[in-house]
Amino acid sequence: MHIDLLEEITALVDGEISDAKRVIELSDIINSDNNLGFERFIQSKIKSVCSQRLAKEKTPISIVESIKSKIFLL
Amino acid sequence: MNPDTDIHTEKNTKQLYAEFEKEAVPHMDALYNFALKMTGEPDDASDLVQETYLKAFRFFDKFERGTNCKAWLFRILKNTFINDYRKQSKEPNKVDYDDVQNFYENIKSTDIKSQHAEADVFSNLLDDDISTALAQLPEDFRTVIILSDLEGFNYEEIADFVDCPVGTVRSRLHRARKMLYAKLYDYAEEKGFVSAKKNKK
Repeated sequence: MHIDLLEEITALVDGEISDAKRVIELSDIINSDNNLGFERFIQSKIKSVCSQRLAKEKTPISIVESIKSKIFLL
Repeated sequence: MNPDTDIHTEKNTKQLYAEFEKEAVPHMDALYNFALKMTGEPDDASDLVQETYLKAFRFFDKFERGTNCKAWLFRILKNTFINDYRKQSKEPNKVDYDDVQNFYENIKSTDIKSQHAEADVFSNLLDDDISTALAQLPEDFRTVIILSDLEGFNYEEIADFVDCPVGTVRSRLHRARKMLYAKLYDYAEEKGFVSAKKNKK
């Protein structure tokens, strides 16, 4: 499979293709090919796993306070 | 000393601080989160965010109002990280993308047939497994995944951040997700969530 096409699938998953005609064209190509369907599946799966399950850590309160107080002193 | 000038300066500083608090401070958690995933150490992440915010405030009068403050802060953080925190020794072992591709091709043929059965394979993994797998990706690949999938930056913003063409961002994201998929698949195999019939290479 041509790497450009595979990377275009990544761009499709990320909503980075602005040409509406190309989006439809690409979706048709993907829907008619199991291998390309799998590529789209993997890209979407990992994207959603990362966005939903990677921990979003909060800045410790002590650091927030320390930053604010140092900025006031500048 | 002119008291009028002092009052004027104090007023400007207060106004600047108020604007900074409104524009920049709300992005602190995103920066801390990114710093933590890049350094792997809470203390380093805290120091990095602190330095970033102090620099940002110093140069806040140069920040073009109405533009993307989050992206601006991330650029400052990146420069600070590159200059002071990047430790080459902490770089994970280089991943051979050809290995990943071979592995990927191998599992692909079987997974296509059982896509729905294995679609939720990763739901059995712990969130910590996913963080660990991400931490093992080379920095360039980890960076694009965090910026895109966790922080929601678009390709143009990521390209600006990593200082490379948009096409490179697309390519790195494509590969990074496959690498992460391969790593998560390994974990799932080790834990018995998928059969161990698919081997690397």
